[in-house]
Amino acid sequence: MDIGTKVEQLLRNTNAPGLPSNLHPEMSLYSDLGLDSLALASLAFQVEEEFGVPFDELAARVADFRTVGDVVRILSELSG
Amino acid sequence: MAELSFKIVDGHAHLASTHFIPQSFLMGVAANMERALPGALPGDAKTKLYGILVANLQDHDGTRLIGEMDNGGIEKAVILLPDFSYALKDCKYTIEEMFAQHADVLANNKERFSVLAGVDPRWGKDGIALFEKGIYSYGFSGLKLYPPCGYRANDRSLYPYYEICAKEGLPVLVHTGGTSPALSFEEARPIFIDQPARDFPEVNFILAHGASVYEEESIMMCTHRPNVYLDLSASAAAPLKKLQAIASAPIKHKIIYGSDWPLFSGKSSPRDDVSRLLSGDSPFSGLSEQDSKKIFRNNILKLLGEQTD
Repeated sequence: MDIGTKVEQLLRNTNAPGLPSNLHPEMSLYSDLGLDSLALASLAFQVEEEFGVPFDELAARVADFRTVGDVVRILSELSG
Repeated sequence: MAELSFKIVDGHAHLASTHFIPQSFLMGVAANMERALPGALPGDAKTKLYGILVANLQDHDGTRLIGEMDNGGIEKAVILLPDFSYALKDCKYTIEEMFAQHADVLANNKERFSVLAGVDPRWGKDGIALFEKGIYSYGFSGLKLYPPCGYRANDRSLYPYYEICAKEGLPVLVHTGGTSPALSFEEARPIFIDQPARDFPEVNFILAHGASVYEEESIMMCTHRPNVYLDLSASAAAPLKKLQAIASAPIKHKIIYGSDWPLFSGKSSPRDDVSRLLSGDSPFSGLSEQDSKKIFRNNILKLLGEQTD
């Protein structure tokens, strides 16, 4: 499974209220998908478990998670 | 984002920096987040949540904040420095050192920032001297009070500070409502500003988070006390009906926009926050140009003694 597909799966696991059937890279996690800070924290916990990224490295980048594409790009960097 | 014909002035922001927010404060925030998260969590979830908060609080000189301001059409931000150092003993720096660090940031960004600085009144005469240094040497623009640290805004020990603000025409911004569970909540009612507002009619008092918790009391104060205002900071976390009450009250000349940066920086930017207030089902989405300009720019500029347009 590629990172994009995996990220979409993890985003759906956060139960954010605004998740449409199709996600696009430019979609804002906040204004388009309805994630809040708790949902982002939940996403971070899932990412740590699924991708094996050290949490310290991940925590430093959570603030840069603004769009779906940001999450994919950052996880590609961290898990590369 | 809805287009505005003017640049925004953010009346309530902070430097996103662990230099000014102690660990105990943040661990309290992390504890609330841990309780609110659904499902199975890692055993060290609170520590990890604290790690996310800390990682997001490394903007010690305001560089990141200015980037966010540029992105959100914000010309200027009022940076608030609360004094946690009397109540919470794990602050990284003394309040004197925090004043000096804010002075440096202000000196490097005079066109973009104003600073309202706080001193816990229990520091006594030393605190008053420090506040005067902030005003007369550092160029700070007013007083920030944080009653959850364990005092009320009507405490007589604050009157020397109010006298300085009256003499110099400076505003006083007072936190209202809840905060980190490391601190007390019972001192932070808007009504405790009433007596100082009566005793110092020439001082303008701003109820921080006036739309978030005690909106009825805040509206009453703003309606009937000529020198009491409120800000919209943290309204993203408030039920919509509270914002509706504020927006429908005849106090547009008393409402000040505030992002509360970096409080919601984990999920949004000041740009997102302004967009949230001006679009969709927000009760502020249908504001006239004149009222928008008051709330998002001119009301706070007037209190800072700066030119409005």
